[in-house]
Amino acid sequence: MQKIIRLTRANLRRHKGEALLLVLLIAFSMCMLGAVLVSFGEIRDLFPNAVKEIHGVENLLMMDARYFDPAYLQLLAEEDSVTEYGYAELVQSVYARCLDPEGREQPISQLFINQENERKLEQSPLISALSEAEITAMEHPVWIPYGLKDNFRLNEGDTYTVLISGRAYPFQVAGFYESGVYTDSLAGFKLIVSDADYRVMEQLADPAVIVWFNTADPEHTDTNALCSRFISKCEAYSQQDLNLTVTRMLYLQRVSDAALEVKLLLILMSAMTVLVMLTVLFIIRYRISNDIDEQMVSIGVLEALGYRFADISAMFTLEYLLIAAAGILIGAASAVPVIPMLYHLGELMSGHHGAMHWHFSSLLIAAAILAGFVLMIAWMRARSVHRYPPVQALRRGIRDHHYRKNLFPLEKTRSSVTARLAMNGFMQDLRRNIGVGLCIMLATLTLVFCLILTVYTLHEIDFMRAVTGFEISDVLLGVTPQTDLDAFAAELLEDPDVRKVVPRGEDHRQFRWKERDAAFMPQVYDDFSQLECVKAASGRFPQHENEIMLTNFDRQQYQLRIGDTLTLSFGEVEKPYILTGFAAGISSSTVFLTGDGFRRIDPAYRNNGLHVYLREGVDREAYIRNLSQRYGKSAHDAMQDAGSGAETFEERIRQAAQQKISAMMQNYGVNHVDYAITVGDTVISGDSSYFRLLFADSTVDLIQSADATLVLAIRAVSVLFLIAAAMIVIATVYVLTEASVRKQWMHFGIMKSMGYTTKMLMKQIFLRIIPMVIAAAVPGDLLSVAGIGMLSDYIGTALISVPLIAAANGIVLLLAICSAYWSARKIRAVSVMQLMTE
Amino acid sequence: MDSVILRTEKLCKSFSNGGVQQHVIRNLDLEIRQGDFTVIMGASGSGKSTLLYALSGMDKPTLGKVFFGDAEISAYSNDQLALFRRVHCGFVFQSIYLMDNMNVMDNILTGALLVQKPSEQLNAKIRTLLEQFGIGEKLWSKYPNQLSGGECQRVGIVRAIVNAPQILFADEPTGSLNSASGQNVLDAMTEIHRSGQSIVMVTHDLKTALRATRVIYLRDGAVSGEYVMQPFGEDDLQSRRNGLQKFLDQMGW
Repeated sequence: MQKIIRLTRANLRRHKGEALLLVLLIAFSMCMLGAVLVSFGEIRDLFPNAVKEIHGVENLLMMDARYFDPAYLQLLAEEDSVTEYGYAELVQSVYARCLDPEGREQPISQLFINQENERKLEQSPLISALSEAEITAMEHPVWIPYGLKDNFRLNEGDTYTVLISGRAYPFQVAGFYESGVYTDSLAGFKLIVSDADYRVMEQLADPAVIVWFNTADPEHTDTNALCSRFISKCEAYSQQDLNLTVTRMLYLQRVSDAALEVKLLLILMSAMTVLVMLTVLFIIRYRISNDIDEQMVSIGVLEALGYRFADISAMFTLEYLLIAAAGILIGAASAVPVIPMLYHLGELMSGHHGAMHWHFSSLLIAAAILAGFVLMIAWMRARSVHRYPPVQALRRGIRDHHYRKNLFPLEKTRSSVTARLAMNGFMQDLRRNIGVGLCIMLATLTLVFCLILTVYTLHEIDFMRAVTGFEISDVLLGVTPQTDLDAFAAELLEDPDVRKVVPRGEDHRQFRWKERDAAFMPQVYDDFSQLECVKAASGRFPQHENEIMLTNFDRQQYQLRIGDTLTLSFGEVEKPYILTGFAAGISSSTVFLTGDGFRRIDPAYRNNGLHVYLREGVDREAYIRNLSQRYGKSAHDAMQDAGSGAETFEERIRQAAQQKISAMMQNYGVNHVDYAITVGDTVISGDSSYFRLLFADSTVDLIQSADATLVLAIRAVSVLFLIAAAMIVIATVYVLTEASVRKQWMHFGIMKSMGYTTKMLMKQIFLRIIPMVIAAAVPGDLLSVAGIGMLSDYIGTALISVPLIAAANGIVLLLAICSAYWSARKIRAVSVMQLMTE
Repeated sequence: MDSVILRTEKLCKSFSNGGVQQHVIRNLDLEIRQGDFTVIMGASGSGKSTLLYALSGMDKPTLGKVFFGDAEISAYSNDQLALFRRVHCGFVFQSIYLMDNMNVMDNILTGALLVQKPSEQLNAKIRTLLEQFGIGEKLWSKYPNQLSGGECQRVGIVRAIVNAPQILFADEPTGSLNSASGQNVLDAMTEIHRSGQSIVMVTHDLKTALRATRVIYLRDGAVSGEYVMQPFGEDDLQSRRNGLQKFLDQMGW
């Protein structure tokens, strides 16, 4: 064994550069594979574990408190599969806002609950770095879920300001808690407040009730059907239409939603790891073949000295096992800080905190997988020394006879002998070159893909506009019912800052597809061609009242086809709609229809908002401020500006009246209010026509706060991919060049004696490698274009960017040239002297 | 008297071996004349090959100068030396050094195309040379491993002279060949010399040295003696052998 180790060490010393590169690539693979194996199981289970640990409820139905009757619980108890059930009260404000760390208003839905009700839903411990006395001393303590803490980077003692029902409510952050529900900015955040504050909130926002239930087998119970049965029974019991007021949050869907982004990350990282591993294995295979060719005479000498084939094979295999061991150790060490980072990213994405368990066995499995593959490839390749018995090996192997057809004879040279020699060299190593080309192709594919993703995610909002499948304009306006939407839109359009105004409709009530027990949120536009973010992936947008469009995601989930008829219900009314197409993007459970289409099922429907698109360079916040000045405060702003600026008694009365009206319009959907107040002999009268705007939001800010973590994760993985792809290009070209130089060391010496300069020989190597890199990059480009094209079709936005593809190819070429140059520099060391003294 | 083609002035070459300086060539002054067949002889370690490398621009001297005509090639850069070798020199090696991944024609063309433009005339010239040196057409597309040692060396000679160099360097060209093959190669070298080619050859073989017109004997890195002969074939071989043997005996060979 010692003699084998000695020979292996000698071999390693000869190829230090290549060995180092291989160590780095294996370390990278180990780090990624280890991170994927250790952390992803943990991240995927963050949500289910969180629910389990806090004894959280599994399935929830949230309804307006006015529709709730405790007797409903008995109806729930009748279901055989329900093992536990109950209800909790809380306050919900869809239109609430809060101040982010930069002091900007964020339109984030918030729910307020007191500790007593919170205990009915979850048993999460309240964690705080503050003492009991400090918390007790707080006037308005609030306990924040970790999802919000991470989003807003809050700490104990910070002020968290809620903007609701006419004024700002500053709370002091008492601490944090894990929550299974309401942990993201789209669904809203659940805030635990004191009983006193809760009572205040009850007056300002919408009291709601969460009816919850657990089942014996949450993984296999059709809770959707169970909910439908339960709601029907409740409707029968109460003689009320409950479908439109009840929002479902079902366990399996919550698990799936929580793991969706993590799955995406897992797929990307696994693909990257596989790519790097394949490259490593190819390089090892190539290197061993080359080593055997190169050391043929030495092999013959060893055989002549009495070494067995197995000894020599073991020598080569051991070399790569040692390289793999070094790479695995470095990779495992670098995985130690990477895994918690990845886990934290998972926490940010899922909105749940967990205690990560270090499964060292997973690291061992990763190490075993890598070592196993390296051993297998190295041994399979090293065994080829069997083909060379001593005499044959001493004659440099039969393979050194080149009986193959000479495709590029020098006799046919027309211009450059260097180019001809390069072509000859390329053809002689054709099989290996094809392998190297495959590596370059995969690396180019990855580089193009990741560069595009990285660049797109640098501009978060452009990326979100491209992928969400929702219309993201600059400013989203909600208008009061008495406002003439078309006239208002025309008026807004006269503003030179405004590029386009598109009427829109939105309803928080869901459409249900009874046949499949699915719910869809309506998005209503009269002219879909005006939209910039929502695109049809297939088919077309609805044009007639009996037409609808669903999303790509829904098409896959429900196996739908264009032309299918879906019977949708809205409240008690049911209507058939024809499916005209599927919207691109990553959104789901959304139904697109025209205003006429909505009125077909709800004759009272009218568009209630406007998308405002501003011209380039116009400040969104400034525009919203200007809107208030031009059209009066929005109902929302009026609620917040209580008492400000009023000087006379009459003004104060009018302002108080407006505040009341705005609260009614905001929170209860009141259409019109007239008022007349008698003060002594004076009658102060007015109506709600003062308000034209319900709210004015910067859509961009809302989207950014909601999806920043996803974008961050995609960008992080893309950058990692970029690094991996760059390493692959460097490694393959370096190894190929180094091997070519070493293999032709003597030939280059002979050529130098004839008068070839180092530059000419380096050019020969370049001409052998760089055209291959270019040739390999082309199919890589085509594959990436095809892949991006498929992605573009899915999300509906053309992500293909010729400049970025060119840039990615430029990077590949530059890396290849630098790597080839670095490696080919060794030709300078080729000495005629050395050749002649051999 | 023929003009001087190569000249050295106080040529020194030393190597450092484990910190110990080894002076292989010491203050050597030498002239190589146009049209001569110069053979350098000497005991092992006397500096024969080192002198050949220095004369041919393969290696740079430690001290002293090497002139090719009036040009001081010892002051040339590596690229200039490559150009010098390309245009003015041809090499025949003991180990032959044909490129084993190229057939006969390609081996020759690799050097030829450095100096001459690709053309049918060039290909025809090579074919003629090959025929002249006993490499028949059926061998032109063969690879080195399919040829005998003698055939390989003759291909090596054609490769060395294809660009009509002003001087042909040969380092023990028959050293790795059997006697019949060696004889063929020497005949070829003699034939080239007769056509006016200047040759500098290193050898330790008496039979090879007999082909020379001038024998320089090196001892400890310096010229210890010189022996001049008629061109091969113009005198009696036995007396030629005796004369050279006597000279070498005097030199302590």
